[in-house]
Amino acid sequence: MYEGLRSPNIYTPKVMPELSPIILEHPNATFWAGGTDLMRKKDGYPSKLGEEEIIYLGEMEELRRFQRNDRMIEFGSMVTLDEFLSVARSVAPEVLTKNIESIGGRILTKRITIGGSLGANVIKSSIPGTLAILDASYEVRFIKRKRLHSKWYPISYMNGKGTIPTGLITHVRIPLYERNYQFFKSTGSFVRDKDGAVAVAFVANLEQNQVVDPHISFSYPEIGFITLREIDNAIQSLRFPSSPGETENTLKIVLEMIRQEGKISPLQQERTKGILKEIIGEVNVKILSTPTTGTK
Amino acid sequence: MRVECIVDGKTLSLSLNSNKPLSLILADDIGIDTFSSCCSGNGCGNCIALVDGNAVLSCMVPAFEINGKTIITFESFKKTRNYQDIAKAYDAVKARPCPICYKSRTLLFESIIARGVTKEDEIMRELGTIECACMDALDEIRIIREAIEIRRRRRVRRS
Repeated sequence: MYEGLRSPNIYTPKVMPELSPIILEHPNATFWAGGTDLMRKKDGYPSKLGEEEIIYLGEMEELRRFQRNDRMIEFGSMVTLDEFLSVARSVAPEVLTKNIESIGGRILTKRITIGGSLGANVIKSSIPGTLAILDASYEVRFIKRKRLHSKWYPISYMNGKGTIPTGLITHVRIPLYERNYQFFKSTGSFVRDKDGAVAVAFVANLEQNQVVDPHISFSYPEIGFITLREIDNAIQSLRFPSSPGETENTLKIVLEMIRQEGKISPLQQERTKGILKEIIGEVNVKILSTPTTGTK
Repeated sequence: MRVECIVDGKTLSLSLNSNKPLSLILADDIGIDTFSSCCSGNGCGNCIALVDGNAVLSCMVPAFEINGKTIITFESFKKTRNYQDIAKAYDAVKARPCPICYKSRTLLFESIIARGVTKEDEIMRELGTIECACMDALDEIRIIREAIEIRRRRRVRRS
């Protein structure tokens, strides 16, 4: 059945200097991280991939490092979600750990790498959306004039479509800001339920009767993530506790903006609306239950 | 490429396409027709095998990653005492997976039991790997806890 198929050569560089000659020799080679995206493709095997060489990144120690200080955490792109949770659970923003836990069991999280989830041609996970609202950035190494160069980009520049500059994602950096309200919820599976899955990540500071500096992202399989300053402003303009009328009005505005950005199914619209309602309801409860300082 | 690995206790040296999935290697090259998976990589979870003791979705593991590894499929696992523990737990709880997901779910239970996971939310997260909805989640949790207890008692008796 598979006779005549060419077996791609596997290159396993161990350090960065070994990588550039391989890229120069095989500019169309496929970078192989955890393989969850490549192996999931309908035409994954046998496929045209056989005509390209594979650069396996799993043995590059530099891409597996993790470091932190008071202001940020930085980790290599080959750190798997499972490794990230075991190392950074106590320091990473809660919204990100909740997101990783929502993806599934260790069978999946041990294979999915952070770089792989960012570098896929079409974003198929909710991780990039959550990283975008955390103001995370990623380092890309690329070949220019036969030499490896490096540049950092904010993840929000991805535009949700997974269109990264040509090159290899090597590191991801997350600044550690204090946010006293973090929310993540996903419904449906990003792998199995492409027309119904939704993930919403939200971070903000709750102060008196309003949310300050809110950031929200909506992730949909195949479409990618949607983050808009206008949506953040619409949420910031709400006064809490918000009345059902105000809530409904804001939901309508936000959903309209999402519809303009990407074609989502009616089920995804309903689910997005439900999750947004849940966020507003939760913020209402939190603000109402916060003890206010009385004046004499 | 040349791949050397141990499958169900047999040392094999295979000539394979480097990106061929383990699920196809087991079926085509080794002749172990153990899976009822038909999702083409969509994550149905019915192709679980144990690679170096860890449960993996074999449709997501390429040939070049199994070089030097030990692979256990349900065919050899069912001859072990660890399987007997899980089979006893099925009887004790009076619930068992459907024939479609039986093999994969049993291997998934084994990987959870071997790690000694008993927290409910953690077990639930692991169980979500298999799409088949033939079992009640509470029954699955009871099976895992029962199997852990059976295994513990067996080891105490042996020592």
